[in-house]
Amino acid sequence: MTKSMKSAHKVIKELEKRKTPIVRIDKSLDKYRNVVLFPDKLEKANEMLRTVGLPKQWIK
Amino acid sequence: MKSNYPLSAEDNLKIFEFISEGPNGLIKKMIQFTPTNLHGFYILAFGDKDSKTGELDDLSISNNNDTKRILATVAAAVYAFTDKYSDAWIYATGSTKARTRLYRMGINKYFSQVRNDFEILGQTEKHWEAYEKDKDYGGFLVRRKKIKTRSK
Repeated sequence: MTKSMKSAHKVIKELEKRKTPIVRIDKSLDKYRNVVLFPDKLEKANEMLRTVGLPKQWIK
Repeated sequence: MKSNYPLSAEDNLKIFEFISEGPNGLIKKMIQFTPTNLHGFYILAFGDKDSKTGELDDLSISNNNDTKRILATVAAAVYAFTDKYSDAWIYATGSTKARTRLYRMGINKYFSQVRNDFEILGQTEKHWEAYEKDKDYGGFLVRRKKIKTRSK
């Protein structure tokens, strides 16, 4: 295996170990920026805040 | 962790899109980390995008036999989001109790890996507590753990 092949192999192995994915930036998704796509979830979060509140870890 | 679907995102990394593949064909799905008036508190939601109307639905069951891969993809999006927003708290709950149970199963499956990277809290009826695998929760809060810097 040549030096460059070894280097490429190492990069591939490192990429496979990454938990953070490589993400493609898609400008067509910009139109959703100021839109709440799932308003029901927002209501569920508000309900959680009313009944349970934030964890003490939040305050730290 | 099971391989995730390829992800696209807008450049603030708060909205992601991917395509589920299976017996019911190609189904576009979207993930959103919705900011709130609480600084650093985001709500995680995802669902199917109707190819004709563009409408989103987090209640639909697409039956594409790829639940595990979808969960891995959502987890990958959480890693990408928290790489950028390292102090963010992310709240997740299912649109139904069954969905919330599914998320719990997903966390349990990868617990040994994710707990190294995230603080995970489970929501009971009255309070938040450190996540335990065998307990039933109504929702989840996760935050990326800080990387300890090595002393020179």
